[in-house]
Amino acid sequence: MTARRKESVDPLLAGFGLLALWIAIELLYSSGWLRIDAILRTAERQRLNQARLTRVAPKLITMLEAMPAASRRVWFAPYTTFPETGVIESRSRLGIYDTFLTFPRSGISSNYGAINLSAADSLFAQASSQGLIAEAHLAQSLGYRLFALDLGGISQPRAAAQLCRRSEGCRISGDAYALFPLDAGRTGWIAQLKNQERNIPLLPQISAAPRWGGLVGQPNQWWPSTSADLPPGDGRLRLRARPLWNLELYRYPLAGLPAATRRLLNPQGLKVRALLGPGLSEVDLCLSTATARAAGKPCQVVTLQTQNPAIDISRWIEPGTLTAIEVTLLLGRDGQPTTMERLMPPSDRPNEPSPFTLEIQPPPPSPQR
Amino acid sequence: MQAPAHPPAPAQVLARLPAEVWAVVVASLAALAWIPTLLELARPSSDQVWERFGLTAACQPQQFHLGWIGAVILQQSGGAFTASLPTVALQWLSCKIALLTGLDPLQAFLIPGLLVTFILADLSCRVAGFRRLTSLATAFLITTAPCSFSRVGHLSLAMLWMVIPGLLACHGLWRAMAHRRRPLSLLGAGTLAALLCLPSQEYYVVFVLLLLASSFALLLLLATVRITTISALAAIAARGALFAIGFLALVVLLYSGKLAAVGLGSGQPPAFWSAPRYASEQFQYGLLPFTWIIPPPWVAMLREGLQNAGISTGSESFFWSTGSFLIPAAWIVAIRTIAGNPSEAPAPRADGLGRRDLRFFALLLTLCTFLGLFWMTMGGFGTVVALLNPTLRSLNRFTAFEYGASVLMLMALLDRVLSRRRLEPWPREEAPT
Repeated sequence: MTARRKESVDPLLAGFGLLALWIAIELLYSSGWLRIDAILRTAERQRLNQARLTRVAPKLITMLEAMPAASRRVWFAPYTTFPETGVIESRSRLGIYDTFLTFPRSGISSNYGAINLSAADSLFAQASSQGLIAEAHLAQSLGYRLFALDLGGISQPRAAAQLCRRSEGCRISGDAYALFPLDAGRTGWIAQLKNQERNIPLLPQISAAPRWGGLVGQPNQWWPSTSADLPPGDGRLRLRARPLWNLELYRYPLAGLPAATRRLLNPQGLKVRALLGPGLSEVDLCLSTATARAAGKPCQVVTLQTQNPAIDISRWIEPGTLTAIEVTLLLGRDGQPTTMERLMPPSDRPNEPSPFTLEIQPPPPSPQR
Repeated sequence: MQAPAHPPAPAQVLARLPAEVWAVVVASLAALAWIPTLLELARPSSDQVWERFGLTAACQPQQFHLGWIGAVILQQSGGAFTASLPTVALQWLSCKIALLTGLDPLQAFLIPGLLVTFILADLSCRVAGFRRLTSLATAFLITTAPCSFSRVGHLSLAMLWMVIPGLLACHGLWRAMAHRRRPLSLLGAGTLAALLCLPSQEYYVVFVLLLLASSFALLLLLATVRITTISALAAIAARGALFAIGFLALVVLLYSGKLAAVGLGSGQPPAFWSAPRYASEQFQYGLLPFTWIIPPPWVAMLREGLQNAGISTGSESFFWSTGSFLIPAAWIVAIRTIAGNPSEAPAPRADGLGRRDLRFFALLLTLCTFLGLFWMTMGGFGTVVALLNPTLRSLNRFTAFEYGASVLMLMALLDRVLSRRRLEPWPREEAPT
C-alpha cells in the first residue's frame, strides 16, 4: 500500500490537467459568460425600447408599404458602403437592408443593393463622406422620394427627431428612422442637417473617415470633439489630432465632389484653424504642401504658442493633394520639451490626449438652391 | 487472487456511466458555453446583416412552395452562401424551428448547426480510431472553438462542422495509402470520409480539398524516400487516387444542385464567389497568422492597444478571428513527436490510436501550418487563382483548420497516454497479445 502512495503523478496527465484549466479560461472569455450581465441588460433595454417605439409608431417597413407604389423610393442615410461584417454605425437598423435587397418585389427601391465598390457605391459613399446635406441633395437629384435618416447612426438623434417633428410631411418610425420627404417644396429640412455628424464607429477603416465640407481626415488619426465650448448651431467642428507625430489630411478638389455638394461649397469659404492642445505651451507643426515645396522649403512650419494659440492654416491645405502634418516639437506648460505619452487629455475625452486641434468653419451654404 | 472489496471511488463511479450519458453531458457543457451568444443573437444588429440575407430569405414560406430542391431554392442557393443539398435541408430545418418556436432565424440556425458540428466531429473521430473519451473531447473543443465565437456575425464561418471531418479525411487518405486493400473498400472509405464532411459551406470545402491534395502530394513524396520500386509507388498512388475519387464523387453529388444552377444559369461563378477585385482585397482578406497564438483573454486588450497606438485594425483578418493557446501547445507536441525515436515498438492499433497515427497528426499539423502561412500571407484564394479567373474572391479561413489540427494533435496524444495508462472509462476487451 505504501509503495502505491509513492507513485508520482504522470507529468503528461498533469500537463493535460493544466491544459484543461487553460481551456476553461479561454472558454470563459470567448463564450461571453463574463459579460452576461451586460448582454442581459442590453437585451432588456432593446426589448423595452422596441415595445415603446412600436407602441408610438409603426415600423418603417409598415409605413412604406402603406404608401403608393410610386413613392416607395427611399434613400437610407447615413449611407455606408454595403454592409460588410463588422461594426457599422447604427445598432437600430435591425436588418432592414435585406428586407429591401432580397425582396425587390416588395416594390421598395433603395440606395442599398449597389455592388460593393461599384460605380454607384463609390458615388454614394463619396456623397456620404461629405455629410448628410450632400447625401440628401444627391438622393433628391437621383429621384428618390423619401430620405430615411437612421437616428441611431448620427451624432445628435434628439435634434434630428425634433427637426422631423417640425418639418412638414416627416414621420418617425417605430424602428427609429426619421422619414423625411424629398418632394420639391418640402426640403427646407435639408439645410438644418448641417450640425449632424455620422457616428464614428469602432473601426474607422471600415467606415468613412471624419470629414467636413470637403475635408477628410486620415482614418484613425483624428476624432471629432464633442466639447461644449463651441456655440451650438454655428456649424464649426473641431477635429482633435490623436497623439501621433505624423498625421494626414485630404481636401477634395471641387471638381471631384458630387454636383450636389459642389453647389453648396464655396471654394474660398472653408476656414481651418490649428489650435494648441491642452496643457502645452508650444507645438510646432510642419505642413508638407506643394506650395512650400515649390518655394524650396521641405514644409511650412506653423508654431502654436500660448500667446498665439490659433493660426489659420486654410491656405496651406490645398485641394487635391494629401497634406501631411508632422509634429516637430512639443513644449509642456513649464516650457520643457515633452512627449506624446505625457500629454494631458482634453476635458471632453479623458482617455484621449491630443497635441493640437483643427477647427473647421465650413463655407456658408450658397444661396442658389 | 481476489482483491479485497473497496467502496468504489467517485472517479470509478463516473467511469462506469454509460458512454451515451457522457456524450450528453459533454454536449450539454458545449451548449452551456453558447448560451450568452444565443442570448445576444436575440438582439439583431447590423453585425449579422450579412447572414440575415441568406437566412431570412430562405425562411419565407413562398421560397419553399416548390419544395426545398425546387427551382427557386436552386436559384437562390446559386447566389447564397450555402449550397450543398444537406445544407439547404439544414437551413430549411432551422427555418421550421424559427417558425415553430418564435426564435430568431439566426438562433434557430445555430442550434442544429452546433449539434451537427458536435455529432460529425465525434463520429469522424470514432471512425478514425480515436477512443470514445478523446472523440467526445475533440467534439467539445471544436464546438466551442474561440474562433467560432468570434465569427458569429458571419454565421456560416462560426459553424465548424467540416473542420475535424475534413482533417480526418486526410488521415483516412493516409490509412488508405498505407495498406493493401480492395479497390471498392478504398472507394467506400473515400465516400464515407466525404459523407462525414457533409460538404456544406463552400467556404470550407475549398480548404478541405486543398488539404487533401497537399496531403496526397506530401505522402507520395515521403513514400519515395523509402520505396525503391516504381510499381510499389504506383500502387500507393493508385490507392490514394481511389480514395480521392470516392471523396470527390460524393462532393460533386452533394453539390449537384449548385453546379446545375450555375450551369443552367449564366455559367459564371455564383454571386457570392465572384466580386470585382479591388486593389486592397489581398490585404483585406490576407494574412495575420500571428493572431493564431493570441488567446481570447488578450485579444480585445491587444486590439484596443493597437487602435490607441493609431494602427489601423479595421481589416477583417485583424482579430476578427481569435487564436488559442492550444495551437502553440500543439506545435510543441508535434515537434516532440516528430523528433521522437521512430524505432520504438508500435502499440497494437486495436486500442485507440497507434504511435504512427500520432506521427501522422504531427505531420498534418505541420502541413496545415505551412499551408496556412503560405495562403494567408499571399492574400487568400483569389490571389492563387487570379490568373484563371480574376473575379473570384480571396477566401481565407485557415485559423479554424489550424485550431482543428492542433486539437487533433493534442487529443491524439491524450489518446496515447490513456492507452498506456489504461485510464479510460469504458475500456475495450483486452486484445490478445
